[in-house]
Order: sequence, then C-alpha cells, then structure tokens
Amino acid sequence: MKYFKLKKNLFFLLILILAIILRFYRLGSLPPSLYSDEIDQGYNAYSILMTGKDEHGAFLPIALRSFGDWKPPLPTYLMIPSIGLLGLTEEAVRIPSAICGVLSVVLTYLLALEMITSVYARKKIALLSAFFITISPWHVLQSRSAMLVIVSLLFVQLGVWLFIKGVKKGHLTFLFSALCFGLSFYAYYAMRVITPAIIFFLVAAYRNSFFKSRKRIFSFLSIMIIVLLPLFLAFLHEPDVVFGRAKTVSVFYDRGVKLRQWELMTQDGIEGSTLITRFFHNNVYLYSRSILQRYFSHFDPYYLVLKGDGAYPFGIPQMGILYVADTLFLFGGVYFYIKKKQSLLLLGWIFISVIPASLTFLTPSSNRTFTAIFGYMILVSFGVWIFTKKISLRILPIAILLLVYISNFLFFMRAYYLLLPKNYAQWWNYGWKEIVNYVKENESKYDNVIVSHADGMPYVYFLFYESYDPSDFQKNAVKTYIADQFGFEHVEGFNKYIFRNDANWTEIKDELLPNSLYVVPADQAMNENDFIYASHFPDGKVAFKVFETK
Amino acid sequence: MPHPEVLYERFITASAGCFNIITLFFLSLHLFKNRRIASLTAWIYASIPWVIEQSRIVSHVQNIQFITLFLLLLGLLIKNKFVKSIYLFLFSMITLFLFSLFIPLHLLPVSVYIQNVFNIFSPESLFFHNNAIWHSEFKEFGLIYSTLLPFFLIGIFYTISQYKKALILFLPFLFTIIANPSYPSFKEVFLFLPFLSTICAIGLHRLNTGAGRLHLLLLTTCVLFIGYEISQFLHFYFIHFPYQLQNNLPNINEIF
Repeated sequence: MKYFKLKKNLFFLLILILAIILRFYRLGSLPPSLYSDEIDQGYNAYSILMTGKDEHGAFLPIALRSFGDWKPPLPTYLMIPSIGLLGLTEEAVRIPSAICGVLSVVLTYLLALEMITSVYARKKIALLSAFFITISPWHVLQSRSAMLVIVSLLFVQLGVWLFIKGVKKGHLTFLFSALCFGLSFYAYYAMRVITPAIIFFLVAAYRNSFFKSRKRIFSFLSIMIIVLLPLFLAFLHEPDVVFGRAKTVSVFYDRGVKLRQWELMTQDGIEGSTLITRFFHNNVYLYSRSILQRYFSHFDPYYLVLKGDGAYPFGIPQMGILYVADTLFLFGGVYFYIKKKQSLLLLGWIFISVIPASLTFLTPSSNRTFTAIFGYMILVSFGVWIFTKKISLRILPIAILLLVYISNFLFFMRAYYLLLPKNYAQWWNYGWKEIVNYVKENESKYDNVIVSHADGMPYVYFLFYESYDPSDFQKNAVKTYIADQFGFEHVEGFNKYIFRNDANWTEIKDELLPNSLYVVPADQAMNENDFIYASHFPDGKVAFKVFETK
Repeated sequence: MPHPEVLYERFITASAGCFNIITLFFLSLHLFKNRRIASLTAWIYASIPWVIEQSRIVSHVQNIQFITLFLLLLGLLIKNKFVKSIYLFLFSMITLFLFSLFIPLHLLPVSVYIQNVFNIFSPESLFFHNNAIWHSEFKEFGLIYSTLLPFFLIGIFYTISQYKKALILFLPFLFTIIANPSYPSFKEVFLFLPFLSTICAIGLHRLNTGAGRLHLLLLTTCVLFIGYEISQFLHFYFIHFPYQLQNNLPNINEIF
C-alpha cells in the first residue's frame, strides 16, 4: 500500500490500465478485418508451429518470403504462442502487438526518465510522455494491428534503455541491449538502417563510459555479431532477405524523376551544351532533391495532423496521426528542449527514424517512420510541462488544455471506433472471412473454386480461415515465384482453389469452367445480379459476389 | 515584343522590385540593428525565385509589397512612441482595408485557418513546391530555396528567443494569407516572402558568428549549394520557363 500511496505510481498505474483498455478492447474486430500482411504472418506462425516451416517450406526462416516481400520474422515468431493457445483467430494474431504496445508505454516512461536530464520535473515529463503515447492515435493504431513496427519500436526502446542503464551502472543489462538491438533487425526492415544509427548516437553520447572497458566493447560487438550472423548468412544465399521489396519501392525505381529529367534535357535541345545540361539536370541533384522532399514531407503539419497516411490501412478517417494539440506543444517542446540544452539523442532519434521512408517513393509514410513516435511524444510532454509551468497551474488555462485534449481524443475515438469499422472496412480487406466461410460450407458441391483478381492476396485468407493443412500447402501449392510490377509474388492455386491474379471477372466470364464457384469483388460485377451469394461491408455495400456454373 | 504599355507597367514593377530590396534592407537594419542581418535579408529576398519572376512582369503584388514595406519603414522611423503607436495602428487598419479591396476576407471555420497555417508552413510549400497558383506558376521551387532550410530552422529558433517583437510586424501579412478562402490559389502569398527572408537571414547570421573551422566549412558548403540552386533557378527561368508559359498562354487573360 505504501507503493500505491506514491501519487506518481498511482498515475502510472492508471495510465497503464488506460493503455490496456485502448489496446485490447475488441481487438479481434477492430480494425474490422485482418489485413493481408497480418493474416499472412498469422498463417505462417501456424505453419511454423505445426511443421517447423513457413508457407514456402523454409525451415525456421530468417525472413518470411510471404508475398515476395521477405518479411522480418520476429513478429511472426511472437505470434506462435498465442496461435497455439487460441488457434487461427484475429485475436491470436493481434495479441502480441497489443502486448508490445502496452510494454512500449512502460518503456516510454522509463526511457524518458533516463533521457531527460537536468530538469527537476523529469518524472512528471516521463509520466506525461507515457500518457500521451497511450492516447496517441498513431500508437493505438499500430498496437492494435500486426504490422511489424510496434515490435520493432519495443525492441529499440528496450535496447536504448538497457544501453543507458548499463553504461551508467556497468551492469550486465548493457549486454542485453546488444541482444535487443540485434533482434530489432528481425522485427522490421527499416531497423537495419535505424538501429545502427541509433547505436552510433548512443556511443557518441556515452563515449566516455562506453570506451572505458575494452571487454565491454568486445562483448557488445560479439553479441551483435552472433545475433546478426544468421541474417548475414541468409543474405549471402538470398540478398532479398535483407532488402525485401526495397528495389520496387525505392525512390530510384520511380520513373517520375527520370521522365522529368528526360523532359528537361529535351528542352535544352541538341544545340545546348552537354556540359551545361549535365550540370543542371544530373541524377545527383534530381534524386537528392526528391529524397529531401520526401524526407521533410514527414514533418509537414498538414500530414501529421489533418491528412495522415494516404496508404490504407495506416490511415485514420478524417484525421492525421497526431492530435491538433500535439502539434502546438510539439513545436513549443522542440524550442524549449533545445533551449534547455537537453540530450540531442532524442532529436537524432526522430531525424534518423525518417531516413528509410524517405528513400521510398511512397511518402509520407506513417508506418515506416513509426519509431519517431517516441521522440514526438517526449517533446509534446516537454511542451505541455513548460506550458503548465508558465501559466503557474492556473485553473482556466489548465481547463482549456484539458478541454482541447479531451475533444481531440473523443474525435479520434469516434473516427477509430465508430467510423472506421462501419464506413472504411474496405481499407482492411473486409469481406474475405464471410466469403471463405461460405465457400467452406459449399465447396464440396463444386469441382473448382475460382477467385478473380482481387486486392489483398486472397489465397492467404482461404488458408487462414480454413485452417488449411500447412504441409499440404507447402507441397502442393502452385506458385510461379514471378514478381509483379510491385514486387509481389502470387499463388496460382492449391487444392481446388484457383486464383486468377492476371484477370478480372470481365475477362474470365467468357471462358467459365463447368461446375465451379466464382468469387468476384463486387466492383467487377456491378450490374450482374445472377449471383448466388453476396458478402457485405458493414455499411451495407456489397463486397463480394459468388457465381456458380453447372 | 510586348506592347509599349505593357513594357511601361513592367518597368514600374521592376522598379518596385528594386525598391523593395532597398526598403527591406533598411527595415531589417532598423529592426535588428545589425547591418549583416539586413544585408543578408535583402540578398536572400533579391534571389528568391518568385521575387525575380514577379519583378519582370506586370505584378500588382510587387507594387503592394512596396507600399506596405515603405509605409512600415516610415512608421518605424518615427521616434515618438505615442505617435508611432497611432501610426502603426492606422497603418494596420489601412493595410487591412486595402487588402480587403483586393483580397476578400471572410470569417472562415477554424479548421480552414488551421489548414492554411499548416499549408503555408509546410516544408513542401516553403522549400520544394510552391503551391500558390498563378498564371505563370512554377512548381519546381518552393517559396524559398531548399538549401536555406537549415538556416530557416536556426532562424526560427533565434527569432522566437531574441527577436519576438519583429515577428509581430509580419502578423498582418500572415493573417491576410490564412484568412483568404482562395488560399493557396492566389498570389498574395508573395507578401510573406520578406518574413521568410528575414528568418533565413537570422539563421545564416547565427551560423556565421560561430567560431572554428567546422563552422567555416559548413558555411562555405552551404553558400556553394545556395549558389548552385540559384543557378538552377536561373537556368530554369531562361530556358524551361518559356516552354511552360507557352503551353499556358491560352489560359492567361490578363496582361503580364
């Protein structure tokens, strides 16, 4: 009871309870459906649990080949216990992310205590940081979905915290930080750039303590090498294990820059000097500018607060990834953070987190820059703390502050808990579960089940919701391993299922197979009403239609 | 060859453009009491793509810019504090009235004000892609050069900490921009450029006052990059801009 008498511990406990509620409530049905990446990880976890191999037959893979995007495996391995206990369900897939989300809140508090120095109210700022990250729409969204990044954030936070603790106190914890940093490489692609940079910053910040003992440096490096050795060996065998889809999402893959260069060079004309043309329209300038533009697009307040991520399912309807109030205090927080000469590690953390995303052409991206959220929330907390100090805790300004945050929070709750499942279910590939269940009940009557071209890798939904035997799929699935223009590899079929990734319904219906069931996205068969079954989005619109042939 | 009347009007705008640079220099000198900041402000303003472009065509915003900067400078030169306050108050009222003749001011929803503030301070709009729309717009450059970005950030920090009063003078310009329902589809965003030049100049000045070889190296590198980017703009303006303008000519209904 003495523990609970301490106000700060009580507040922290309340924050934790709020974090658990926000992350676990209706976890299976909100977001309204498992996205293809989530369901693929879930099925691969099931496959590894049952057979020791992933869907492609790789034994305990260092990277999951998945759809040809070579997903880092750690989040999938973390799903194995929950899938073992709960089976192939939405909750089982998402529980590890939710747990990581709650632990991330705890680590935010602990890290803030370590990183904010020479400020007497650092415990208050740490509590505020934990609170703001708990209610952050960005953090809640990622904690409630299995999109890899919440796991990577947790391991980086853990690594940094253990590093700082260990360097200060000379504990064994320092070596565990090497383990966490090494494991973060297996959590998300971007960590292969972010983690080394953060380690560099940490070593620079704590160089006096770090370089004190050669034994410590040697142990740290040894653990990192041991943990990363499997990845390196896998890379030698298959480079895509490290790079994943980097080639096809890279800014250098985007033809926009090249086309613009060609246009400008053409306008310079044949009579123009080659030297001058090269001086002005060279790749270095054009790509550097493009990368810089993409880099700073992540700090655009319009994107952060109002628009959010344009790529489903990383968006929240009608809002961005931060609250309006967050932006005000963020700028104030940055200003006072620099003015009070705090550790540059935090600012470095934010700036590093954005680098991998700026090398892709799909920007701004909230998913790829998720690691930055920690830095943002600390700075927001700093800003709020300075504000409360300046107004000397007068009631009216505090009341206005609370009112602004409560209204922002309620707006988010409405957008996420009410609008998203009802009106934006298609963002999450909603509808497959119902269709698969229907097909499961009726497929025995047909020779073939054919799915026309549809978003979201339909084959994996059939595998998941039918709890399809992994060893059968590994042996008998038909896969070409030829990537499409986006770098994705498709499955042609397994058992009696055929996936027409190359054709939509208007092309297929001219050559139908007899005694077959056809699953068609509704937008491909809008005017056709001779279907035998239709699944619906929560707003009532038709998601899929099922046709049969005799 | 343009009509003599057009040439005459362009001459007036070009003259206003030149006087704007001089006026801005003296305005900065008076505000910051620092010749270097004043020189840098004037130099940055003179080299901004949009300023160069607007100085070479018939441009009402260039003329408005001259009137407002000149009247502002006159007001700041008044020594008597009471008379100065009255003058500045009247100046703000007249400016708003003049603006309301050209720029319809509406009471907009709060969300639109917020959106407009975010837009004008977005890195995209400031440094990479000027999203104000006018007949001869060019999207290849922001309101200011991208190489000025680090100076802008440093300048914002020091302006807030040391030159808060100077910020207040630019608020009417900011307000007329964000209060306009047509934003960003209007040229009056141009009036914000002296403020941006000043911020960058403060940042450049602060970097210049640092000691050591690293500072010198950083500064030299930045200046070289700024020079390169200015040359990029000049090449674009004289070689590629005519192509763009030619494609746009059917849509232009005013003399320029």
